[in-house]
Amino acid sequence: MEAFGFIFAHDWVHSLDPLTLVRPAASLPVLGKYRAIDFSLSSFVRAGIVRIGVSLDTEAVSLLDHLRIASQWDLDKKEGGLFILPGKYLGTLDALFKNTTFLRRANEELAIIAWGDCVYNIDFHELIKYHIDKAADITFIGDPEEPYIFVINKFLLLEILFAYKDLRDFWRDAVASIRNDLRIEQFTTTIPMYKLSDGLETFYRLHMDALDLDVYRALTQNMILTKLRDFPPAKFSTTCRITDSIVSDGCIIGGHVIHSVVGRNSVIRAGAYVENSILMQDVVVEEGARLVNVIADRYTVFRANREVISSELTVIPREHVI
Amino acid sequence: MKVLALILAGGTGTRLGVLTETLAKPSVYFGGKYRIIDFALSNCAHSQLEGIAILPQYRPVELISHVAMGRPWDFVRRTSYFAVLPPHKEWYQGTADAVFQNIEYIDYLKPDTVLILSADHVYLMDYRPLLKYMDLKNARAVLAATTVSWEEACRYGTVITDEHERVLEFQEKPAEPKSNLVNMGIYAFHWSYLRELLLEDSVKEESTHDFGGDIWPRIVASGEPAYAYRFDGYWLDVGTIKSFWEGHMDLVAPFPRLNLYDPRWKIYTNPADLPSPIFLGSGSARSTLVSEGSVVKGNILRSVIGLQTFIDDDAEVVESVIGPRSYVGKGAKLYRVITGESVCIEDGVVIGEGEEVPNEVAPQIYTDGITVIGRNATIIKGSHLGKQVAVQEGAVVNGVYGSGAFIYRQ
Repeated sequence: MEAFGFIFAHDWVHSLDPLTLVRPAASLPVLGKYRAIDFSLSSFVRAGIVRIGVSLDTEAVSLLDHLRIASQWDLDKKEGGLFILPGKYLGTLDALFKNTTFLRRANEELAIIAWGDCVYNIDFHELIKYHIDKAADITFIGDPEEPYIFVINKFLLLEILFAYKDLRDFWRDAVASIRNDLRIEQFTTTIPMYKLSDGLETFYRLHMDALDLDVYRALTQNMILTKLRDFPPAKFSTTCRITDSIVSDGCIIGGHVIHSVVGRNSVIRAGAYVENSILMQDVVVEEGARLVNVIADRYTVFRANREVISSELTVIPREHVI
Repeated sequence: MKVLALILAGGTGTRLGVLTETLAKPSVYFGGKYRIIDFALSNCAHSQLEGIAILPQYRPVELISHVAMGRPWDFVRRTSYFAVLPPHKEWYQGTADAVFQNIEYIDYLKPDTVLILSADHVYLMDYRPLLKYMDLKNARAVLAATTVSWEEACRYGTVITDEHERVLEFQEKPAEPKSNLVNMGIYAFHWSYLRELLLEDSVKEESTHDFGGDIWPRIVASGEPAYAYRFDGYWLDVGTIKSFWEGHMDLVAPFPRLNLYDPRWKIYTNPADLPSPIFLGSGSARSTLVSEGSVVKGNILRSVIGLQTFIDDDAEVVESVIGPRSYVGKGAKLYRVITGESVCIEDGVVIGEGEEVPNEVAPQIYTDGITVIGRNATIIKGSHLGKQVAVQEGAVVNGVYGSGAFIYRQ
């Protein structure tokens, strides 16, 4: 059965502030080169689901910029493709209801609805097959109270939307009130999944888990597509030491990096020390600076010999100079 | 159309030995994630040329699929033209013949100027100053020239100019060069003038239909005021195993002469969509480039690691260029090795140790102590290979081979 996709990316929770001050959780930079939404988008595209709507906040400039060139996900299509659906949505039900035109025009019978702040790498074919085999009305993955993904028949979806259009949340309000009338199945999987809006701890855990090769592969195999920046391979100079770390393209590393993730186009100069930290893209760590347990947002600069060392996580907001 | 660039991509690259056994020279991987043709294509993109055509010949399939209708270089536009023109009448006899056989297409686009480029060179160059120079000199023909060392000059076409840079003499691969200013294989012509030259050349029986060998000597002999445009940036003709290897050693130098990190002149390629490289355990990389998708557990020194390559525990890779999708096994030791893609080097293999002995089949190709392994080859557990060894594509190597061996596919 054919399916189309819908991604909720409009929800601007502030559970990861200051990281989520400047972007919604779906737009959080993860694993050095991706944004959270790349994982759901790529899972859709790889399953041949190429009509995808993304609900986003009108002020989510970072996300709009990320999705600007649809060809990077192969979604610049004459039939289907990427539909950016901006608005000021009150909740998931509102986000769907205000886009019933998009839902109605889709020729596909099934809707796969995903939360854009969830990081996973899944084969949606398996989910669809399970949904059909179980003859379910709705099949979901994740927490029964707050799933990561669910599949629903398009016409059932529209019916629920019109019947409960005054409610806010599609799952917690609308589905919950008719739960007993529907056949709802849970699809269980062992693949690693992270819901980033849960908070900083989940965000940090995702990165530290990924330093295990099996987890890293499970999350990134079979192509996770993202916005290209065309950087050269990472360069490691004579003075560097790298232990259990991910270092992205465009980086120039002269310092010591332990158990950390370094994002694209970052520079860690000789004598600098970075441990248990996550550096997003375009970060500069100058000579002799020391970072332990730091999450550094994009374009942050650590001046020479500065120290940010703590047993707790320290988050450095975007474009800050330390 | 003002300018149409024609990228000649037919090179067989025979002096790259087993690296070009079934691969055209422009398709050879360079710098970890790139292929050689990416440099010329990216230069065209940044020079904002509106018409680009690639003329492949030898082994075109992989090249055409890599170029992907020009999309990675943003050539897919409604207001520009991009074409791949493999031979469609008969095999291209020479570089000039390749253009001659496509007169129909060029006439259709009606360019004022045709820019002839080669897909075999690694360099970053803005072609717009060259085109402007042509206007200033009021010339119908301009070639780009650069200086090389006197020892190397005999590999190229040398150019002798007067004080106004007018080309006075042109010698193709002279035994005793009179100049170390050499032809870069980059020419700009007024299309009407070049068209005339090509028609004239096509009926000359003694002609090899080559720009360097026939067209340019004729231009100079006719007294046409043609000029040399001097280019003083980094320019590498990836002609030999030695220059291929040296080009990579240039990249791993602390301040490389070829700057891949210039945000205004990025090199674009057909993307592989791979995750960032991961380093596990005690692995180390020093003076090294590591491409996306790679996993590093071993130790790497002064090397370039291709896409999605796995360097396993305690492996030692020194002054080597490892092709994409390759595996270097536990405890393997590689010194000055170049591999093609998808090469499997099993545990405990040692390559590149021993005396320097000339290669038994092609001593002029496999030089400077460099061992070259063709793509899809497997070097079985515990094997030892010396220096200047060549391993054919797809060969399965088992045992001890001294320096200078040439290992055939079974």
